[in-house]
Amino acid sequence: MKTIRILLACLTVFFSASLVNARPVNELSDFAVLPVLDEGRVKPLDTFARINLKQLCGAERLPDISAIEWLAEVLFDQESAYSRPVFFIANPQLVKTLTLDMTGRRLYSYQEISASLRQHLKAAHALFRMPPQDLSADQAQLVALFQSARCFVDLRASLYCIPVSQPATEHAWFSPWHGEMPGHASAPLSRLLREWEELARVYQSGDDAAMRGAGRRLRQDTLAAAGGSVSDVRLRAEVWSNSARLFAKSLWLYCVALAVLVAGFVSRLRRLRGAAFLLAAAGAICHAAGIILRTIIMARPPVSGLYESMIGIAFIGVMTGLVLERRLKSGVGTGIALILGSFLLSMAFRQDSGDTMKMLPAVLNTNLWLAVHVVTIILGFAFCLAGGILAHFELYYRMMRSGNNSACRAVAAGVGTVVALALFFTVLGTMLGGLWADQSWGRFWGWDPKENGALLVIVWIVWLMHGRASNRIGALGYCAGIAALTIIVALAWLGVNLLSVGKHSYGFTQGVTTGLGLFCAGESCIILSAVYISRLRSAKEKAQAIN
Amino acid sequence: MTVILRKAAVRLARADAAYFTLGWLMVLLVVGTVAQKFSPAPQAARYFFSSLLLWLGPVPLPGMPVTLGILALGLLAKLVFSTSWRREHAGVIIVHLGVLVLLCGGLISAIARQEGTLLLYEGESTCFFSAADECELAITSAWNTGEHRMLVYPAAQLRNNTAVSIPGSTVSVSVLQLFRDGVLVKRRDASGRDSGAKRGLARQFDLRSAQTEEERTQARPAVVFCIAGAGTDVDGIYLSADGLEPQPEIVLRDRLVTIEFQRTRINLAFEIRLVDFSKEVYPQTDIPRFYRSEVVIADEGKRLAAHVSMNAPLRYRGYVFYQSAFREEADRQATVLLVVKDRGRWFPYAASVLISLGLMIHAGMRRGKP
Repeated sequence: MKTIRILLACLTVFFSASLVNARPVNELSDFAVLPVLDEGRVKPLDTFARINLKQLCGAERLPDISAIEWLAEVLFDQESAYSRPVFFIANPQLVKTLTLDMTGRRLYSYQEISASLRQHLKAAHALFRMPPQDLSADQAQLVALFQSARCFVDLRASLYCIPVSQPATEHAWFSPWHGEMPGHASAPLSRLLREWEELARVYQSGDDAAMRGAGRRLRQDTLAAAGGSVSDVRLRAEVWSNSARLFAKSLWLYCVALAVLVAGFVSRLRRLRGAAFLLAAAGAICHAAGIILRTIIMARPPVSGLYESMIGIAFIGVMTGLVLERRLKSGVGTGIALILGSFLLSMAFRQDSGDTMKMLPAVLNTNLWLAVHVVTIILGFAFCLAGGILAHFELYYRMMRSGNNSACRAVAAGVGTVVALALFFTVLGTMLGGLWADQSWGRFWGWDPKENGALLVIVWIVWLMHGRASNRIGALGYCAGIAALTIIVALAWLGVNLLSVGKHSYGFTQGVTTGLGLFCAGESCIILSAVYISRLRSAKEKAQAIN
Repeated sequence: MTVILRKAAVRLARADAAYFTLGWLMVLLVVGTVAQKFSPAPQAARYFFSSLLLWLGPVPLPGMPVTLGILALGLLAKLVFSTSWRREHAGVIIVHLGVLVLLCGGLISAIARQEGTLLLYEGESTCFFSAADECELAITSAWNTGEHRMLVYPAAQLRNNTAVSIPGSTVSVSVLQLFRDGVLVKRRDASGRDSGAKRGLARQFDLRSAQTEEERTQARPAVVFCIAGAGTDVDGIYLSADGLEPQPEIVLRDRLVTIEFQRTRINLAFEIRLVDFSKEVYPQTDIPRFYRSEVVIADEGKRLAAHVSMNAPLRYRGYVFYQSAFREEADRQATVLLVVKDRGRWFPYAASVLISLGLMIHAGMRRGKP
């Protein structure tokens, strides 16, 4: 009871702080929720602003203003927007090439870079024609800067924020900066255009109350014009989610909890381990809230891409660790939860390069299979990773003490349970994936790299089980094999995406090769060293017993 | 003999037989998967996952079908000879049975599965589809009387320099080059002058095997052949490629003969017509939201309107039609449907149920035990 009270108190403080942070700037609160069609999805202007700002400067806010304030400036006060530093240039060579101010700052305004870019236009044209893989790092950054500048200049024209109803089809969306919209002249449309003009006027006048009123009217009329095809609740939920940054908060909680847990292990203080458990549980609640919010916003299971699978696997891993902790009560379960939560969420943030709520390609556009197959396989991989890390702890116990002590036996029993769950869900998920492939591609199995990856995980576990059953693999070898599941899952989950072949083209990734290679090499070294030391210890104990 | 077989079966049924077989299976999986990156994916997949034997220099190694066969035999032997049919083993027995059902389904599909594609333009109908992997040389004779006769030679029977004759004439057709993944390369002298005895498309194009990934996507079965015995105006070297017009035609005394190299045509027992193809993308993007083909099936006087879209195939008389691709031309659209008839189709469904059930029962019975 006391534990629950402490947990609730922590969460209350934490969420109150989130809510205060999440409140958008007052005069722009309605403006931030205005719907805009971007990349096929109707999203709030706040998300649109954050995505575009992130493309320019790599962050979702500028040092002095928020993304939505910056967007308002771009739309209504072009002169100020052109002189505000937003272009992030980290490469000193590029700064030199463009003859920019070299005082060590990294943000430059459009005014500063535009003249230099014009001088390099010819060279850029040649670079644009080259295959991206043939560009040097400097050339690639010059191309990226050109693209950012183009995106900045086109921002107003790409703001599709006026819905126009069309007979028999979905609403068409237009930008107020498109000028005339032939064939679409109507009273509601004229009213919306007038309201945008009014919004621009009051922004320039600096009248906050009038800005608030104009924003509210425009939001209400836009929603009315969209005729129920846009959900105000989901738009508001998304704006809140953008500001609350629940996944970032849970990552922060996991990292703090990990530090507390390590301190607890070092100092042997049980209370610190308990505190780490509470912090991890608080992080898991934030994590769950973030996933639920994404589900509401997207109106589909949040399991479509690599980013979402990382978030999902991290959550299942954390929950598995916390449940294990209730059984083991040694800090090992909390450790698993925190290692998986912090590591996978950090990886997910590295994958986040803009809009993480993209529209689904046609083959994935089915909620039933998406929910059933992907959720099951995510559960399977999460249990595999949790089992793998738990086996690392078992290896640690075997390395430090004899394998027969009670702590080691308890951990070994936990490994058995988690691996059984891992096998069940990975098999079920893979079979369901095959059935989905049968429904959409006409075959159950096609030896596609992604399918082979999932099969490899299953065969690895089954191979270890048969090795153990036939005494070809001893207890230590079995434990090392289960620990190596982390490598197998990493290869099956991320590695096969690097091959860029097969039908799962929507899942391909680039740029994780080095990290994946280092992870596999590091894990192999850790596991082999642990096995070697355990063998030495075991041999020593046997020799002592004989003597 | 029976004793030896029984001994072998008991040995196959042991856990260490499965241990070694699964180990080899993993090697094949990893090598076959990585090979798809460095060589043409379909060929690599076919070599590593469909060949009975793999050759490491002069050493033969078991391919995937053999490995899976050994696994299936081991499971069968285990179920027959060394399973203790006790309640506490129910989960494991059901899982083994499920895997066996899955492997049997794979075998049945490998033997009896028909698969191919069907290209259909809006308003057009057809009563056959083209096989995915098999090709044939079709020689069609059309007489003035309206009579048609088609003679088909499967590509598997054709080699370079294989000669076949046109029935009822002294004309022979000799295969010079045959490619399953042929690419047409424009000849340097595209006018066709100085091209000797080459006729038709062969005057403008040479044929070679696809080399790059881009070429492989456009590759098609193609053949270069020589006609002899039809007279100096007709004798010469011709080229035919699947789906490429015009196909070589020669006029003999009493008939018109078309010689066409094509994917093997498999007849449907009914006619299918494409009424409309629609494609929708998310607004202001190129991301496809769905593809949909409205079709009408005409079968013995009955007409059935249906549609095929992603994740919603059409099933009719054992055939399943899947939305696979589409083609857009200036004034018309075509759909590409994948057509599959697979007697082993339901085995994976049954296996999924059995394996999941078995794992659940096993986990339930092992609960609380070390």
